[in-house]
Amino acid sequence: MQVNYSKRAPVWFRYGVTAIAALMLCSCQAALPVGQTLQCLPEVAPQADARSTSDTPRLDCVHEQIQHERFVPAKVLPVIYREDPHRPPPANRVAEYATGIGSTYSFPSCSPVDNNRVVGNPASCNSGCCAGDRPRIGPRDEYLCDGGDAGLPVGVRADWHIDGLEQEDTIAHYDTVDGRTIVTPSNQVCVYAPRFGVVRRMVDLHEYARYDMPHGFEDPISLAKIDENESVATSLSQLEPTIHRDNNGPSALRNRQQLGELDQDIRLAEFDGVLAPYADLQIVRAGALDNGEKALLARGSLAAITWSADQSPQITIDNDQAHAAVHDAQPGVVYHTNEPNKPRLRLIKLASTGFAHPGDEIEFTLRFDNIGSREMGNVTIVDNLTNRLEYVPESAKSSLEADFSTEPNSGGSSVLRWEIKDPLAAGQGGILQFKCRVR
Amino acid sequence: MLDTQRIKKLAIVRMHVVDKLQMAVLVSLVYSASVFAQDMPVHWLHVGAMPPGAIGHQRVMRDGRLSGYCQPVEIRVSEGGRIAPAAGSNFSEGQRNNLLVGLHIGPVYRFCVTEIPDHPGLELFPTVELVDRLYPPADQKLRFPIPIELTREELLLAANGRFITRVIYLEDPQLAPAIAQDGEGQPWLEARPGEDPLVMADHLGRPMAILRLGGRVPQNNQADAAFLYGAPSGIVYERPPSPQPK
Repeated sequence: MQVNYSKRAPVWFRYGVTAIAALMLCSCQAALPVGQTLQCLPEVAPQADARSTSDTPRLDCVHEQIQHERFVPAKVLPVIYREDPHRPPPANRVAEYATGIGSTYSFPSCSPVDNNRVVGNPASCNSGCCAGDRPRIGPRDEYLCDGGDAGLPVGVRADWHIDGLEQEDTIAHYDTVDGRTIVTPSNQVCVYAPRFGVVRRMVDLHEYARYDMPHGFEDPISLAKIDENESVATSLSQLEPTIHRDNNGPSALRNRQQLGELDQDIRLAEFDGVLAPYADLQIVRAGALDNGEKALLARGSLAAITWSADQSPQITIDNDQAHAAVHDAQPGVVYHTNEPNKPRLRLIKLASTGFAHPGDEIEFTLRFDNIGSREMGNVTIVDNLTNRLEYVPESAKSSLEADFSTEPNSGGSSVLRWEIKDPLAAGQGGILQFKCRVR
Repeated sequence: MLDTQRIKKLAIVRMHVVDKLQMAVLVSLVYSASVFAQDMPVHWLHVGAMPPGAIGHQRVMRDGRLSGYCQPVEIRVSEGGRIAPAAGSNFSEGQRNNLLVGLHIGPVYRFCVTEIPDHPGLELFPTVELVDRLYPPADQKLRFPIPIELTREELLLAANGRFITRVIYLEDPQLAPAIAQDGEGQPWLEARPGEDPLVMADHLGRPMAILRLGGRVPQNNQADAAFLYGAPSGIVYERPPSPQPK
């Protein structure tokens, strides 16, 4: 047996080919101008139809021109297309964003309307400023969301210490009659509340002229950009943390929620219309869904759109996969296992408004129901508020006797905690309400 | 004889190993190139020192949703000042304290600030360039404009020859500091020497607008198209009615 080494290419040649191939691949990926653009001829695609221009102007224009061979390539700009880093809203909210649930939106026209009264030159509409005003799906960074169990799943230890409770999480945990502790998240509520910041930069401009000789020349004006030397103190931002720390211990609040007083609260909350209009729904008052309230419920929460989506949190109970009972006619997700007692808790979260400015107050309503077949004990509802929500002191209300407490969280906001004192019998439910100020 | 065959076998095995290593290097190079190509999602194409209008126009070319949209902008001046948008080759009468105006993304809009308290006759001509837009719920467009603030301190600094750039960005709710805003003053961060305000703003959120203050004044009170950047007239809005309780 003899190996003929002479027929194989030399090692340096093979390594060279490998390196050249890799270099070509790398250079092609980095230098290819992906974002080449073609520009329409004015006579081919006039800009009169501003709405079509706002939709897919260049694509249509290019296709049309290619078909008619009436285009000229404009200068190719070295633009490399990149996806917008800000993610669009989740797929389960696309329909809500696109249509605007519960709104009577009409596409704007060039004629002034009541809400959008135009004072300036109406002819500006002809320049295309009225185009593109239709609702579009935008990034999620304009919304303030709270509720659900995003990120790490929440777990409860034997001493009731909660792990995995991140900001924006709202969960309830309870003990079953057979000694297990089960965690149930609420739905997520999003409020449109954009907030803006500013980055400032200040530089000096020095302008001078120089005369060398009586018959010399005048140096053209030149600009010298000098970075301003600032001390550390002046470069600090004007941000002042205003972290609210509630000094009221649980005992004071417990005193406020005595039994006799709460009996009155229950009647008021459930029968006398204390609930705000956004929460004055049959599902909140009595825990039963009325078909006529579906649209209102969807407006105040994510409703069935989220609860039927794949993005819902995966729940396990004692290492057994819990099954989510979802139905079009049923709001909320019910997690259960195939146990004889079938413990089930439904937790619904609603917001009083869909949009807010910094400084506005938003009222949140949590409706919880034991829709299982057995009673449950130690029902605890915990809401870890996001950074930009500040709990309004003394605004927490409960229809059942509960111990309420707050503690600061890592983001400068608060963790709200209700511990329902009495066991929750099958079919029983309650209402929790609190207010937050948008920062 | 036996040793010779073993050596030849080892040579063959070694050659196979070398071939596999070559393929592994080739594959890893290809994939690593694609990984390196995925840079951090920052405005690597834009810097704050780019000429006015360059960033906005590039943004419009890259994102068709920005084209043709009229983004409401609220420009606030220190108390008593008057802000006026450009109208044709001159400036309109303007409004006191604040101005709600609809602007396109891309063009550079010139404004005129006058009647600054304690400084009669002082005129400043800031420019505003939008680089992104908001996506508010239906019918809420005018209630959520992009706020741009012109403080008295900055106006006077600009009058003394300073050049001020303010990049207004939409805060990322995950990164937003837990501070309360009362609506009176807009919190700002100072970009230190060597730092790019646009890159800083992109790290903190989504850059929306660039305000440039200082620098140029119109020459000889004559129409100067270059001074106004040839931008179309913005639409001046009235204040929207207060939201109705739901």
